[in-house]
Amino acid sequence: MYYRRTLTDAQINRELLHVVFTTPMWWIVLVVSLGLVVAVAVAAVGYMFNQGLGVTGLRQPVFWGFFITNFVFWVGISHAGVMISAILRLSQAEWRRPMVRAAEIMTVFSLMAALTMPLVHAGRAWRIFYWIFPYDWSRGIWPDTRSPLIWDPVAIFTYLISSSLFVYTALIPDLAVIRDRSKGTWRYPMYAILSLGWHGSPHQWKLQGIAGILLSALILPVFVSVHSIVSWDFGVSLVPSWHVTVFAPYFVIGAVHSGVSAVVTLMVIMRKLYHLENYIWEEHIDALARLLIVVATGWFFLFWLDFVFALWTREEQEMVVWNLRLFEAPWGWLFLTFFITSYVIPVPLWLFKRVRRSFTWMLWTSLLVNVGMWLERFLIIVPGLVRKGPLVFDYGSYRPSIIEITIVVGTLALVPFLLLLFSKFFPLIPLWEEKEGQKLIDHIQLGNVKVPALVKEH
Amino acid sequence: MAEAAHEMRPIPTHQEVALDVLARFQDLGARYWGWVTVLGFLFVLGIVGFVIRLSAGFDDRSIWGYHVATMSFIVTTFLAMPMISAGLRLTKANWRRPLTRVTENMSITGLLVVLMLLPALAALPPLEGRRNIWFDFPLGAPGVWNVLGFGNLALMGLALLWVLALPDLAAARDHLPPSARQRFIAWASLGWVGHLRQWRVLYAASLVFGGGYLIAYPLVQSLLFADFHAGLMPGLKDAIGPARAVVHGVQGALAMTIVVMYVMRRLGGYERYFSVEQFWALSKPLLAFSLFWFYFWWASFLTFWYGRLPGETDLIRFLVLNSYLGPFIVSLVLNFIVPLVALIWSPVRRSAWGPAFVSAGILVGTFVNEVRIYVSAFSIEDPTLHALDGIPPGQWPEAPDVLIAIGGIAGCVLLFMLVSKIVPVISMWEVGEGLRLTKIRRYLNRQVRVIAKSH
Repeated sequence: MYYRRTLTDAQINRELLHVVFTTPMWWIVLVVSLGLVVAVAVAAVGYMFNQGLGVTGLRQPVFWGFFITNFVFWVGISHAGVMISAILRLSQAEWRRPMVRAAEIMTVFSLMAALTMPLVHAGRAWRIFYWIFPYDWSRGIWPDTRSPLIWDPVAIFTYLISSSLFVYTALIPDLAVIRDRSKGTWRYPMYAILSLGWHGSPHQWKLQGIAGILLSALILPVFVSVHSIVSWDFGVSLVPSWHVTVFAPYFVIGAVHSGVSAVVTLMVIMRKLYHLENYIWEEHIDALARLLIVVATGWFFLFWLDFVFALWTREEQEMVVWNLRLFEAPWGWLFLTFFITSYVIPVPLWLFKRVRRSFTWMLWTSLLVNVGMWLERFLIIVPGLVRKGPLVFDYGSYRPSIIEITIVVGTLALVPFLLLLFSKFFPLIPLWEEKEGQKLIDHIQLGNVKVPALVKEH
Repeated sequence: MAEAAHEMRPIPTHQEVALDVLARFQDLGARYWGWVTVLGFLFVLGIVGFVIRLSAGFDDRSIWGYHVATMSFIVTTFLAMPMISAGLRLTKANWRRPLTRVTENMSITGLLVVLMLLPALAALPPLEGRRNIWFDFPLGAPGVWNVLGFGNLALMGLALLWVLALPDLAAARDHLPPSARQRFIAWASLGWVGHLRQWRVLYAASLVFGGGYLIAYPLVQSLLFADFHAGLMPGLKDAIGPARAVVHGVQGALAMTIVVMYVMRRLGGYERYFSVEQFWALSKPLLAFSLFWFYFWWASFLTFWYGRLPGETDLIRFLVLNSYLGPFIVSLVLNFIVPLVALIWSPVRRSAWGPAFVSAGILVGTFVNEVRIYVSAFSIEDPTLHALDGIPPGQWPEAPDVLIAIGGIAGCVLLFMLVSKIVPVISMWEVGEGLRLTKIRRYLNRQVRVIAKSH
């Protein structure tokens, strides 16, 4: 494994900063196209704010639909950044180097996309400020700090701030390189400020290393807590099929499954668009695919526990929800699609080395996983509400309106749109990580074979 | 780079390692037999305790709670150890090489667990009227399926041990003087000569059996939790339980591995194999799994606490806040708080004594936790109720329970010591492979280690 190509520092600078200093036509086309989709979604949000939530498909008893599904989905995708970056950094996995920056920044933009959803879902987003300032405990009414609906924004904002710090800390040495290469241009003042006077002294490198390790270690509990808290939005309620103890780790590992798959998708597309063949190789997506096999199997174990223990009690309402999910149209078809796309197709395929090392196969299988994982969230949330409650005389139903669909599609365009904009100002692969990796290359002669080797960092 | 890199010891040759390990392996001195005698005596005491319980029959289920807790403790610690070997081999961690055989040799304890399972199954009440995972398709459930599940795990572990020991068995076969032991080892080595095809089969088989063990272990923990705890506890619907048991298993396996390494280092003179690097490397996942220990418990507790369903509130009072408060506090402190407070410090992690001290506490906490989980379940009189009928009191151990616990644990150590004289306790071929893939070179003004990734 790991036949690293030998690259000079100058070549790394030139290739990874290419898009920062030039503007290819494909970049303009993509930004404009995605920007248009985002603009249409913003218009749909405006229309909905003007007309009220009646233009959505949310009706009694289903008040959580596409928006909340999409919120959970994007929080899930955001788990990739920390999973890839912090854990692999702490475990000193050499193959992390080309993917950490893209994964981290995807975390930040996914969280932004996720945060828009509860605001949109609130219908009158500005009224949220009435809830927050000032807190009113005296009357014992909403907002209640004991509610997961309050923990949610706290956790997500904490995660967003710490992820942004994480990205920024790792970005400083690269900002200094861009600063030095853009002297005399309009860019210079911006990079001069952002690079905080970095000139690469041993003391600065030491501080940067310590900050990276500390942030990696501190961000991990936040990463686990964020999706756990999202899961408790459901788990601590008494809605049938939601009141399940396994939800927290089940949500977290599902998030890692979809997040790492999204990183694979991103890596393959980045490699193609930005011509990063010297940096993103078969070995990298192979390593990610192996990680995905483990994560997906762990996810499947928890999914199986959720299913078995739902049947465990044989309570009528629980059985009704599972019957709906599995056997009633259209839920049954959606369930089948979810299960096949998120596990049955990709995981057996990933067992083959040829698939793991094929960019085309990995692109499609990772996309399939995220189709499945979006449906999974939808199937967790909506069928639990589409039920016959004590004062409801018929089963409710839910059909998303075109407004909801437009807004959700808008978030799917928003994240790549922001990523493209980011890539115009900052390198998507860390220059200094690649250069450091180059310094650690070695080989060992075994008989007449040269085996690639690495200097052990500690 | 670490400061210690300045004083890097020269890398020994494969032959030096093999001669050293085989010399230790060959030695069957008085000290060894002394330990075997003591452990054998304790094991016999355990059998006495078991016979006392057996003479009382299975009508009173509550007297078998400690037997099941001991069995579960063995599953959660000794029998979980081969997962460490399988997992580290899959991740190609180079530092694993000296310790994998220790963990694989522990798979022999699967035989003891299967024997302990039989009376535990006999003590279970019928499935009718109580919650269970077998629904309407019992087909001999739960007995047949548990025996199959536990038996499969034991066989998978033994297969992993045997396959990975073949090169070393062959080395021992060629090294030992003729004796009954040498003849048995020669038979067990299956004519290994180390040609290319044999090596390919070995690598493939290690993946199959290692992967199989990693899949079989969660299933066994699921059976254990569902049949011996959740199925006896009225009103309990705890889907996270089996996953929590697996997390406890990994934590227990890491702790037991560290303790065994420490004891072998101090009493057996294995310092050159179990260096600080191994303790340091294992202490990181130990810290992670100690955090998971709390997280998995908290996820369950919070769901029940906020749900405020009367049945679930009673269960919390029974298992956490009232009857088993003491055992819960002990396990919370030893399995979570002490590891967290101690192992966040790099100097503690980067020592042999620090992880060993924390691990010893974790093993105590794990045993107490198993008592809390399984003794409580076996003390419920009527498992067919939909909720607890009042909060039952906690159940203290009686003399036979103590004997069973001591005997069970001593039996595992005894089996390990016996098997370690058939299969060398250090994997010579893996250590040798690692040495060939390592070199020391100068990097700037210091020495560093360079490690090749062979496959």
